[in-house]
Amino acid sequence: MIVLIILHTMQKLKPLDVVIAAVASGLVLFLFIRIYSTPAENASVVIRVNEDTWRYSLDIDREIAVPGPLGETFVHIENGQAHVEESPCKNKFCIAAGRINRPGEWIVCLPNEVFIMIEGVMESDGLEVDDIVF
Amino acid sequence: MSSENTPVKRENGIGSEIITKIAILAAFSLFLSTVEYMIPKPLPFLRIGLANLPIMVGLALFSLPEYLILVTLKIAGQGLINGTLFSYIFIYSAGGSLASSLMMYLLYKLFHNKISYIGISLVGAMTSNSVQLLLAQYLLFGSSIWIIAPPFLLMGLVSSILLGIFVNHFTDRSRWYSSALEFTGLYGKRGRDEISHAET
Repeated sequence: MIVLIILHTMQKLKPLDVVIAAVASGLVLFLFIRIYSTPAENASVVIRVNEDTWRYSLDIDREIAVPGPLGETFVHIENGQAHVEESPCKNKFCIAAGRINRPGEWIVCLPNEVFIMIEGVMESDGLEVDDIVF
Repeated sequence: MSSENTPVKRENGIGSEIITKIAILAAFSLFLSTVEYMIPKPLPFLRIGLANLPIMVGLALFSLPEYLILVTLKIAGQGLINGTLFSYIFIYSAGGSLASSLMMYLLYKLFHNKISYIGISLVGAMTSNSVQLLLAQYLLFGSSIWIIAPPFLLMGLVSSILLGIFVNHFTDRSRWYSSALEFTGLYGKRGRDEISHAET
């Protein structure tokens, strides 16, 4: 049954199908590589507490004290990575979350309402959204 | 009123034949939306696109206005089944469906000798997905939406190839389809035009 379907499909396949399939797969593959393995050079660390948002470069090492309702959460940026060094919360999940450096990764400390995220995929080296879509 | 060269039964009329076909495909699309809705998915916006099967089947059967009626019915039916008809999500589904179906129609009309339903389906899925991503970017989420773009598009890629294979089979084997096609004439409107000329 499956063999028959495959055979029939091969018979029906026309040149443009192959071209389109190749282009589409290439595009998706390109997007996978482009979006998920972007070097962290232009990425930035976005820290959000309630309505306030701060943005720091991931390239410059620094220590940030983020004020939350429980106290200060200490976020460290070093070697292009960000992590929570110290937090006033009870369970310390945010510290256990470890280091983040790729766009889209995030750490959240719910008790202290601190949200840390790496941003900056699409903005990196002048790549516009529309450049990679048709 | 030359009656000797009218090939179809008079009392049926051309309009009702077409309407019946649109209605069958639209009903089919509604049913497939329900099936799609039942299939569990890791993320709600990852669609298989089952409801697009009748749209592709209709490519060879209808003129553009008729085809657009079918597409509109499909969008409305899908909105009804998913319960998104009056929510902002409807904008995504309507935008994606409309863009992809127009793209598929164009592709079919231009290249139907050089392309099978696999290619048409692929282009349709890619168009629909990118339009939805763009709408999501400008309406709601901003550029962070592109983080989910690769798996979203990959899903569309795989499912659209499978749907294309299915439609290739269906259009080859279905008796209903071949009789519908015979009536329509292989090249879209021609068969129907001849009939309506004969009638006037």
